[in-house]
Amino acid sequence: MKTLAIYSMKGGVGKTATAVNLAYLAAKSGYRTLLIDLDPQGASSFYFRIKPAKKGWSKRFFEAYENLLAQIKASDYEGLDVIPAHLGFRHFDGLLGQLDKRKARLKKVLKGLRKEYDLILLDCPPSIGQLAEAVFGAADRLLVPVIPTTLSERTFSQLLDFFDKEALDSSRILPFFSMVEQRKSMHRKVRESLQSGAVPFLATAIPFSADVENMGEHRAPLDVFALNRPASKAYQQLWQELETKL
Amino acid sequence: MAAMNTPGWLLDALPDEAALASQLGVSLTLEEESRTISLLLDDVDWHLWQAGETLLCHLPRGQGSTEARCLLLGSTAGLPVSQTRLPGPPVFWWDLPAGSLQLALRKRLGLYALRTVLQVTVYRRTLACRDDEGKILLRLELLHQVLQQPLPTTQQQERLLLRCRPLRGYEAAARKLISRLQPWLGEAELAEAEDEAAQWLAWAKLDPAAELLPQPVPLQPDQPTGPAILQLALLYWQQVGRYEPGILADVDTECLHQYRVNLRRIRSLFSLMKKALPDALGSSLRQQLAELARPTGLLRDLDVLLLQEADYLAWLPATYHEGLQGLLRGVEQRRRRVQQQLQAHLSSDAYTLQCQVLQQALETPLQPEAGSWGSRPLQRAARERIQRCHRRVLRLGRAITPQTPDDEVHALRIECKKLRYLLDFFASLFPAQALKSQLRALKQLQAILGDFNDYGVQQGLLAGQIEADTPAAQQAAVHGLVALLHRRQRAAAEQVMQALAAYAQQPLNLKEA
Repeated sequence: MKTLAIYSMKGGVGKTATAVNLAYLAAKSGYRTLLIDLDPQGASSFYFRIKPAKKGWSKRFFEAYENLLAQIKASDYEGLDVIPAHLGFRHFDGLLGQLDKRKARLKKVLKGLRKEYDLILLDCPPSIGQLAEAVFGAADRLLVPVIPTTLSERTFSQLLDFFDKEALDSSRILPFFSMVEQRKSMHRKVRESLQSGAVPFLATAIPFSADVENMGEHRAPLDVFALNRPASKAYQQLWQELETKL
Repeated sequence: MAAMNTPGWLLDALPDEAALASQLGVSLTLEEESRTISLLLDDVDWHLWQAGETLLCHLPRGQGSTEARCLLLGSTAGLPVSQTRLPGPPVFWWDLPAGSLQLALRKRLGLYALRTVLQVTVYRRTLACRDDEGKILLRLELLHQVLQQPLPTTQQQERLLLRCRPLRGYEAAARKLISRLQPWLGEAELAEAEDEAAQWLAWAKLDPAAELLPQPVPLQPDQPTGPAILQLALLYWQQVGRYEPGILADVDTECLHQYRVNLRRIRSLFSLMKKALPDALGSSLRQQLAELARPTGLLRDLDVLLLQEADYLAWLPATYHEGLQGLLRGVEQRRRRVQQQLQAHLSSDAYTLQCQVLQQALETPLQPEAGSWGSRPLQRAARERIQRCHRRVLRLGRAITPQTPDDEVHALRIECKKLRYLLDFFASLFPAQALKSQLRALKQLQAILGDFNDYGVQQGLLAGQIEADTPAAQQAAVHGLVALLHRRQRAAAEQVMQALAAYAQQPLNLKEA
């Protein structure tokens, strides 16, 4: 079983669209896939039309994997299950702060799922706190969407600094360009500058696309309603590239 | 990704979908419509069924799809093992691409070919029950199944089913929806969809257990030995007949092999329990069995040679490969001719008559004379015979030294084989545990003796392929192989003494079962 976190400190960079489309494509390729929506906004769950649990259970999240098992919901797609987000997940940072061995907690509960799943995707909220550190401890790979803008470039370098400071293995970080608008000169310049940086970017870039925005209306992965459109093809390519690195 | 079970109903007619939606009180959308031909595959000896496994091959029809998908259920791994994108149903395990299915089937099938046990065409409409946000809560499958093979086309059978496919995490919603169907359809009556193959077997009136030889063959300790021997022989004779269609169609090498093995078993039974039958009857039966086996010997020899091709190529240096391959292509041509001759023989009236005569002789009730060997209780007779054979194995074994001539090693091998047959024939009369440890030890010894014999046989077979005009490269390959086989045979002979010492440690305990 491999764990893939889709993470960025910055919001609005395409994390959820990435998590939803990659989870769908992984399942379609035959991986028994579980998407865990860690973002209390619950956008991934919304895209899969899965309602959050009525009762809060966030306090039990890091106790034992059985608590996670009870929350798993099948999506409408074969081989793809989801643990939907709950508003209570907004307290995860505080909750983890009170626990011992907090950096290893998430890894430990996920380990219990390895018999049932080949791949776990974590759709993470945009923050750098206790939860993010637990994610860094649990993920085999950290997929980081980066919009080629100065602000995003700065956030990405902050992430690298954090890994450096905490002596974490930055080779697990797999950045890729997201929401790229080729006609914008700034996008072109930032891409060039980042591509020559210390951490190599994936070859696939996801273009800015109205189709991605329309996922909210269709409440489905791109493959389902925009199969041959550029953004959908880009995600297929991203999955193929990623599969070789898992 | 487990979900709750999959209840289903047999229907008289397909329900009106609008009525179904109103009964359920949810929106019902058509998710998928398909036609699939599903084949249940197994070999002639039902090895997959015996292991509790089910191999299905699905051939989707329509939408330009022609690729087959195989699914192995009930495997030891617990999860279904599947292989997609196949050009068609596999015949041998090596027809599949390397992967977990190939591995799982290799273990079960060996050299056996798969055959289509039954064929069902499934027309499926999958309907989705959705909530107010459009999320699927429960899938309903309307299935129209048509059983085609093994029935003649005029006797096709059909059935209609409604099956529920609950989704993980939506069990409560599924139960609620199913409860709304119950006033309409009654309690669900069909078992799990995963047991569908078992339902299909019953539907096609196929019963593998009734086809196969019971293990162990049930015998009564007190029954008179003579009639019991005939009863046992008749059961083995029924097995012989099962392999004929496979030999005629030349599907694999195992059909002929098992046909011969079963004939040999019956003949050995009559030789080993010679005194149980009147002399004239016993010798006539043994002669008939020898005549039945005789026309099959050459084809088996050629099969043995061809089956070794991969090993021979691996053993020989590349410079000999062309010669060997040339020789084996010649063997293949000869095999084709010999196979056709055997096919003609098995289809002849003379063969049918031979079989009828033997069958009649086996079925004719035997009244052993009072006080004769044949009238003795079976268990006593079997025990004495097994003990005598066991003593002989040990005696011959003790005489084996590194200098013992090959003939005497062969004699030991034959005696071990006799003991093995006796233990197999009469297993039900003795405690299973005691036989199990004796059999385990005997099998280990037989494996070494078997290697010793096989290497000798192959040397003879290879040398027999050379004639005056055989090309030099082919002769060289044969000579090379004979030398290699000879060395392997000597190595096996050296292991015999060690194997004998291990075997002699194992006591034979034949207390009553």
